[in-house]
Amino acid sequence: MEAQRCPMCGQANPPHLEVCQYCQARLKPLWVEPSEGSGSAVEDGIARSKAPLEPDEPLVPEWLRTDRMQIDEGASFNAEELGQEEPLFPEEPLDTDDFLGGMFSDEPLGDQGEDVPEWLRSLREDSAAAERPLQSAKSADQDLPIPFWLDFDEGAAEEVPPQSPSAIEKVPPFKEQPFEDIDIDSAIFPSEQEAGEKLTSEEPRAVSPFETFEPFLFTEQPSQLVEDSTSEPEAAEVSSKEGKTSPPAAEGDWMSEIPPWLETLPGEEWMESETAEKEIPPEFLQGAVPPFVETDEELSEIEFPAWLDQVERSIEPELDTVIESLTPPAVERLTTMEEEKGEVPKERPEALLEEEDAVEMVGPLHGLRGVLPAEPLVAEPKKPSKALSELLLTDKQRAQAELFLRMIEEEGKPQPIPPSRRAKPHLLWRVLIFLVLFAAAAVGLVLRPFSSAPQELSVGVFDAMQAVNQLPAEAVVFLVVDIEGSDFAEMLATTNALLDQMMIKGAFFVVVSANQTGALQADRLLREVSRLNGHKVQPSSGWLNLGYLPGGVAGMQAFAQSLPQILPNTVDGEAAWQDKRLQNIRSLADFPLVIVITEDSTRARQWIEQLKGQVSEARLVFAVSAQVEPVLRPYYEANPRHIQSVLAGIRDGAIYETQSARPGWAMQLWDAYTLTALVAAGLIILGALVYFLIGLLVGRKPPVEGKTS
Amino acid sequence: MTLEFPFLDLLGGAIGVLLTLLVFSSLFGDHFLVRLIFYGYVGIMAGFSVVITFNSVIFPLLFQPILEEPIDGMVQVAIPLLLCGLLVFKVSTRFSWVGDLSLAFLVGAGLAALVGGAIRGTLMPQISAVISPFDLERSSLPPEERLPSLVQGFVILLGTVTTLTYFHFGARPRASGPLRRQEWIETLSWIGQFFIAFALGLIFAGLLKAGMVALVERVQALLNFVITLQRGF
Repeated sequence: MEAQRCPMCGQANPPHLEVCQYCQARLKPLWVEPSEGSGSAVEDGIARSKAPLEPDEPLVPEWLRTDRMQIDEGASFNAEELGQEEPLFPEEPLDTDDFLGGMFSDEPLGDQGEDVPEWLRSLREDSAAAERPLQSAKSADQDLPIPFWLDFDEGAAEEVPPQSPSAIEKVPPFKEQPFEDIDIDSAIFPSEQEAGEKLTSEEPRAVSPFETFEPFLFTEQPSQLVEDSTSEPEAAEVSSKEGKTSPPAAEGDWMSEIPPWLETLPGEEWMESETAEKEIPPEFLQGAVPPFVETDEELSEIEFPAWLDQVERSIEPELDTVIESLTPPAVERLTTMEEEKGEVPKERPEALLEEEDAVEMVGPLHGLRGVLPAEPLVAEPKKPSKALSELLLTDKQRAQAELFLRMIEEEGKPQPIPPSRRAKPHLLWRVLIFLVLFAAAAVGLVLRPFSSAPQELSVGVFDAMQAVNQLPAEAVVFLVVDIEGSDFAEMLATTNALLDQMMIKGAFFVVVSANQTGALQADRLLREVSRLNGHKVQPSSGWLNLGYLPGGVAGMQAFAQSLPQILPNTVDGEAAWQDKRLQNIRSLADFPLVIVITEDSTRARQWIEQLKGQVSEARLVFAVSAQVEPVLRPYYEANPRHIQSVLAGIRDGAIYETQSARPGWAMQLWDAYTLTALVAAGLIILGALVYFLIGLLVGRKPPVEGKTS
Repeated sequence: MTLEFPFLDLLGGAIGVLLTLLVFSSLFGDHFLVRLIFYGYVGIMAGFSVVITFNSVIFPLLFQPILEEPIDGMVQVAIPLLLCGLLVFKVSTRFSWVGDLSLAFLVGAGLAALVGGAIRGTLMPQISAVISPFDLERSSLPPEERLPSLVQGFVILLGTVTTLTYFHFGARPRASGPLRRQEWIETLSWIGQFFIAFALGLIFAGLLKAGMVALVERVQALLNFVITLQRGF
């Protein structure tokens, strides 16, 4: 075999050596050249990834290698012309399988895509869409495009070594890490000056991974690339120093050597930026997955610096967001790729398509599309057994069931409502009865047919008169007025004579009411009595209205025990208990007489119950409506009595006026009341008689309300 | 212009007559004017109740103690005011239970007063009234009036027992028929319904008499108004 020359020092080396024995430069290229009979691009990628790389050996792209060879050819040609004996590089045939060779062909991308690196594929695809400006490409980054290193197209997918899938999973955090501290635009699209300065200023040296802020995974590989890039102008300088007529390559002018294929691409700016970006991948991507790390075990053995942990921890939430946003499109791209490869049938059932199109809305898989549901597996429909669907019924049970169903059906049928047999008062009868009663009242008021008051003496009236007669002059009388406006006339007729007698004796009234309108009715009642009987009693001089007593039964009890505390003021807001006439009054027991005027039987009973024990029975008089008399009669006729007297209705009022020889309001109404009551009683008797006769004539029993014949 | 007193009386009488006639017109059925009178009456009474409640309860029991003696007044009204404030929570379904404390206090105090008063003022006196006619030794009546009193006591006892029996609804199933009370209970309850009927008849008669008085009073008001107009004020 022929000896191989070192591309750096030019010394001859044995063919089996991979490193120059003189300058320790690498003799064999780092990348294994694809052969004609090589396997797929996946195998090629595996071979590349598995190719051992040493930190001190440059990583030379193929385009640079080819370019070098062309330069070497020109240099050797010039050397021959100048009489030099040995060319700098041995003559090697141009490998047409080189991926840069495809740049000069018109073949479609897919035909040779397996041999083209990903970054160059993107460059060529972009050149196919040559009209797109650079700024539009940058703005597309804002729409979360898939980076080319995540773009799982054919070439990229095939370059991923299947033995270490974890390396792909670990790529995003490492790839995204520099976003925090690195100017991405400047890193991806360096200006011409910066690129030139960087390429020329840095000396080829082994860069320690901890010298810079960036992790060595990111910085090591680019340093090698820079070293490779700087090796070319250095070689030119060496050749020029040796007197060779190599093309001048000044510092920073290496970019001026644009390959022919790049000259065809439109846009000078595009060429400058894209060339720097695509031909020399960004630094942070070069070291994203170190070629010497293949498995998780190897990756875990690496001791990362402390600052990396801090940086990773600080950007972890943002990384999660980025990964989450990037993952669904990546999955979609993989699905599309599988469809293109024919691994997934193109036409799927609609149900399956719907399931795949459904986006998971909840849970940890939120946002993912096409998540398989777990329900069909859990609740797999089964055909019920036949034995459970049949009921075993006996004939009796079946008959009962049919009867039950028939009853339900009959209940659901509408049934006509029997007409009510209750006699409805006819309008004519109503008006006729009203006119009769109205006429009776009018005749009684105008003609006074009876002209005589009831002569018998009621026991209740007698006891009331005795209680009033026993009052001292100008006594303070406690008056409870619980009446409504509708019963005012009756209560006025009942109490007129009683109150008149006390006014004659100069009594002073302390008025209270347990209903809200009672205070108003009390004032009205006392005014009417004063007016009808010719007294000149005024509210301030004749009575003191304490107003409304709240609390119902509890209020009555509290009031009976402590008057000043419960009702300290009058209804006008004045201090009630500062009156000189009330100086000796502190409880109900201090009043010589307590009179309760009400038309409500319940309220009358409550007053009796609450006043019992607080007021002596001999001082308690009730003036009530006629409807309350049956309720109070047991209290009055009990032995011993619970109340001193009961005046009930207009009749007792008229008796009281007659006995006191002061006919008043009750006597004015007495004739009319008596006549109207007689007419009403006659109408009731007549109606019942007629109704009874009609029943006899019809020959059936009069229907009772609520029963049907 | 100063209105003369007779003119005001005449005006008030005219309004009273008008309202009375409108109420009488309910004989011809329910119509707008009748409802107007009823609604007006209810509204006026409600408004008057609010004013009375404020003047008689809220101001003297809540504001006046605070205005007169702020510190002592606040101490005095603190607990009642707190209980009243808790009642506001009854409007909310979620926090309605907060107001139950006030309601419990209100109902408890009311029932205690009611039951205590009923036992002391009604139940025991009624039992005594039923028993006392048969206590001839303690009777203050002369010997010739004791027999009628004894008969009256017997009627009262019969009415009390039969009326109470009427409201006994305990029944046992019979072999041949539906649930029915025992025969002696049925008999006593049948007697008791007569006493109940008499009592209800008396109450109805009282209502009728009260209504008659009201009718007569209104007719008198109409006649007085007509006579006043005829006499020319």
